[in-house]
Amino acid sequence: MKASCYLSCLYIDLKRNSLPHILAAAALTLTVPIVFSLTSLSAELSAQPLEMYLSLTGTLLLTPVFLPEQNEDIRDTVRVRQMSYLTVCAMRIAYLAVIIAILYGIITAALIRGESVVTTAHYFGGLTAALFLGSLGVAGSAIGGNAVIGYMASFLYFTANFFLKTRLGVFYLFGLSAQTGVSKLWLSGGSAVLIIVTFLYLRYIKKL
Amino acid sequence: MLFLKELRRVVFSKIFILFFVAEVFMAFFTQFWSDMGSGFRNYAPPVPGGDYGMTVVDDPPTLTQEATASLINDYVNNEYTTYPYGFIHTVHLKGSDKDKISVILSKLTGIVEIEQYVRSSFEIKYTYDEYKQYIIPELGVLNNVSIDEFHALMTEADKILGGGSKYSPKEIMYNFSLGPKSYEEALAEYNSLIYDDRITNGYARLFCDYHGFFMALLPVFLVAVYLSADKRSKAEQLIFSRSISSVKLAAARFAALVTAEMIPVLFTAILATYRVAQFYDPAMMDMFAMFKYSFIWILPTAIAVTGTDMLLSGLLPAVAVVIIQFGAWFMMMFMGSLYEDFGVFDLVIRHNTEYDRQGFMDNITVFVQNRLFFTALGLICTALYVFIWKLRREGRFGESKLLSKLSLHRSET
Repeated sequence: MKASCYLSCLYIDLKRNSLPHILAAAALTLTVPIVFSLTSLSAELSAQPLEMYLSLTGTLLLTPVFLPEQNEDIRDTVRVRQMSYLTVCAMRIAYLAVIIAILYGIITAALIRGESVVTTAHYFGGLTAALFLGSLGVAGSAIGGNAVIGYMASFLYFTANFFLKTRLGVFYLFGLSAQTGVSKLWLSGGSAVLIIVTFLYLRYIKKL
Repeated sequence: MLFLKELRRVVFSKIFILFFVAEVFMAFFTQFWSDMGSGFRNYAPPVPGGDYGMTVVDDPPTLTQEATASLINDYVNNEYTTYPYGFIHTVHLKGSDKDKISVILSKLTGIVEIEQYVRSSFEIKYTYDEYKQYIIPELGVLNNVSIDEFHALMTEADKILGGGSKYSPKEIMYNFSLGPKSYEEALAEYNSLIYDDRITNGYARLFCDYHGFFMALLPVFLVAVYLSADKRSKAEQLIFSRSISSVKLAAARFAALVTAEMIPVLFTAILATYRVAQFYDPAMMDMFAMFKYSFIWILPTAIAVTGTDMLLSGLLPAVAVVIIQFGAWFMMMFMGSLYEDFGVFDLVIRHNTEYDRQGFMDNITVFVQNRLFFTALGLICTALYVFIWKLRREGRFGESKLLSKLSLHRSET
């Protein structure tokens, strides 16, 4: 399959599916300086906007990855195409993850400019939290067969972090803000497992 | 009967099971149930000489002295910590705003050049985060500033800071007027729980505090999936062509959704009563308190959220409705107070304690007005939804071009 076909697919996805979600994520990013102060923050406080707020960009961008094919008619059309549907979805996830990384870059730069204590651990720690929430949304919407179920899984897990806190163990999203010292590799691994399980489910159970 | 048919459809759906599990787990087991067994609670009557915690005390001299000293410190450092949206916000004032705080301080202290005066007159100590704090032992408010004027000036300072500061009317007492609770106060509070509230009425307020919080969010998932099911199964056009009245169908669906939403609340009300009975004498308990409170406190929330979400679902794609509702709820979650500091227009009523019956009763009129308002809001939104649905059925109301462009797959979500 020619690379240009995949590029064309991504362009159409960007134009017809992801654009409103990207705009929503960008709007969320723009509100960060309104909701949080970004100047002269300690290491714990610098982590708050990245972990407790901007991580929702993961939910907003990754959860609707399967939204276009939620329509059974479109799904049937996709099934008979030569181009691998799951490869297209993997590419969608990849480019949306890049957008999340860019949004994180913008806020991290604003924190640095505001002379807050911020390190690469903050950047990657926040990004990992966003990707984990996004992966939950991806898994929820694929297995539940409805993007709303994906949002429900992702939003509720995010909310649970405020109430259950360190009781969530290695999958606690706000580890940097709470200074738990738990490695974010668990969250990265969890995201990878969720995505792989989702793709295996779609490939072997849903026969896509 | 149409209502029972719709109720069966809701209750046997995948999304209802998820809703039920989420409500029971998040609003009940992780909160009420675990809270009662956490070991921090003391179910026995207070004994003399114990530690009964802190309470807000009516001590104007302490309040005015401490709040003024704090505002002076913040002004001299030009660093104010506020929580306008529930998260930390550091405010550094410039120009006229800085001068306005200076004017407020001069009205409170009678000193015009407060910054120079403080810097030259008082010793500095540094807190752990290198924040300079001036030790101001005797600088108080002027005697001719009444307590009402003091509160007005502090409210003005809070407004200049953008709200959410420790000088706001909501926070000032909790920050500068706390004192240890006396044995007599602790005993009176305990007796009020046992005899006036018959135990469970107090715990029912705590139970509803947790449920109300989640009931303001979770129905959106149920409503969004349930209302889009017709479109997904391509049954909408078929329903449009049937002779059934739009009002009857929408009313049955609204009633079915609200009834389904109350199922986990009533189920956990049984468990909550059982849980309380593990710690108190059941003979002294009001066995129906959890159910009474569920209907007067949680049902209006369910009606309001279901009605508004139905209306939004008639106008926007399901995904947009979910995101809007979560956004609104998220901000509400962080901007609200944990205790009975609610107004007529606050959807979520917080009362995060089984005690303080008097505080709740002092606000009972506002509580009733609030619940009536949200019940009416939910019903009005449902009526508007029926109207829109009727127009769509008659082909007189379609998707806007903008929405169609933004959400190509709207009909499927």
